[in-house]
Amino acid sequence: MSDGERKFELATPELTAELFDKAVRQHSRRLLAIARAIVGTRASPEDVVQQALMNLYQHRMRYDWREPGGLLKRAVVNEALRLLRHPRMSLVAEEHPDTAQTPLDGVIDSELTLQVRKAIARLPDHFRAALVLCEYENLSYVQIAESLGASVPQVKTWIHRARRQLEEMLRPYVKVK
Amino acid sequence: MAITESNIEALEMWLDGELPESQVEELRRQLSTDPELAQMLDRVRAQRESRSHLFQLLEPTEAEVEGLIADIRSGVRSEEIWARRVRSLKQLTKIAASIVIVFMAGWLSRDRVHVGSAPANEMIAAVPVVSPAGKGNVQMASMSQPITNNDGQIRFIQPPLEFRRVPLTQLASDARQVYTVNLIDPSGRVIGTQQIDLQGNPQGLVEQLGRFQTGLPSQSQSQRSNTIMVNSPEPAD
Repeated sequence: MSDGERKFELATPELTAELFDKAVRQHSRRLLAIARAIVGTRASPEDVVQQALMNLYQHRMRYDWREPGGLLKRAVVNEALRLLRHPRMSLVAEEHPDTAQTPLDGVIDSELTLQVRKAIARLPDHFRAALVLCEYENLSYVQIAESLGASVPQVKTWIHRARRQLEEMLRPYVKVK
Repeated sequence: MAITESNIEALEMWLDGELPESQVEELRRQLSTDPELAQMLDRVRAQRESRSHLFQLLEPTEAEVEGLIADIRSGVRSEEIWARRVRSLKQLTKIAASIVIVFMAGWLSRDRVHVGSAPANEMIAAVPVVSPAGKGNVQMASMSQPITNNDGQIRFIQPPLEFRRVPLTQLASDARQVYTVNLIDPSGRVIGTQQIDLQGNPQGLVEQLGRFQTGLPSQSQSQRSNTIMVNSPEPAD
């Protein structure tokens, strides 16, 4: 059992609720980004995070909320993967945050982003989740394995294959560039 | 040197900070001597940067984060309200279940409610024990302590004081009548029934009761019994 899941025996319900609220404030941004990277446009990332956190809240007395980062990430990743397995999902409208400096940058950026995003979306769910946790969250292979309930060699394979598949999918675009 | 999959994997693991220290030196040496491998490293880095760029773009705006936090807090409030309702419902259910159990227990024991859970001696005091006419009423007698004989069976051959004192004189005035004798345990459960012909002889009843006791199905049951309930016969028309 990891630190986040160890029972926080001394916590009162009031303190737990307070720590939960603090965790929500501190981690929502990263959690939303992780959910967005994993589910893409196949589900609402907001729904993923909200559902994952409400599941944790319902059993909040079981967890140690003093260091909740790992626990929250695990919950969101698992909820995202669960939702992707769910047969009834509605597509979410795609949004492209505009961060370009010039109109030309904008065109190039949007094109690059769109291609990479589409390629990532086509990866198998576990490959994508492992890659996001590795490259966006900078988690170690051991932490990723713990989050995904997999072995370290499995995680290594998933990440390696995800990168190779992405490379294949983006090869035409890279050549143009 | 031709680049292999394991070379690429080693480069990726190195950039991930996961390559074992023992292999890092070897990789560095290869990179310094193999321009093709160095080129591959540049390529792997470039790909990571483009992905990293994408991940940065996935960062939500302040408004999105605030909206999410508000939604979660609202969910927490709803959860609290729901949990309170469930707790209240559980309490109501417990109360209702208790009422049903009490009612059922009362209904099931309506025929022997006179026994209740009080000790048998007290029950004698609480119930009209003597039928002056010896007809149609319930009479009770109590055995203070069962006596175990050598063969391990319970015998009431030597009637205790309470037994003699309460109903036998009245019973004796009724000439030759058949009585139904129920043996009941302290909780009021009937554990044995016997028709006994009194023949106007109280001592005969005592002896017959004794025989009845020794014929009880099991010792464990008879040990719990310390009350004998004697029903007088229905009045003859």
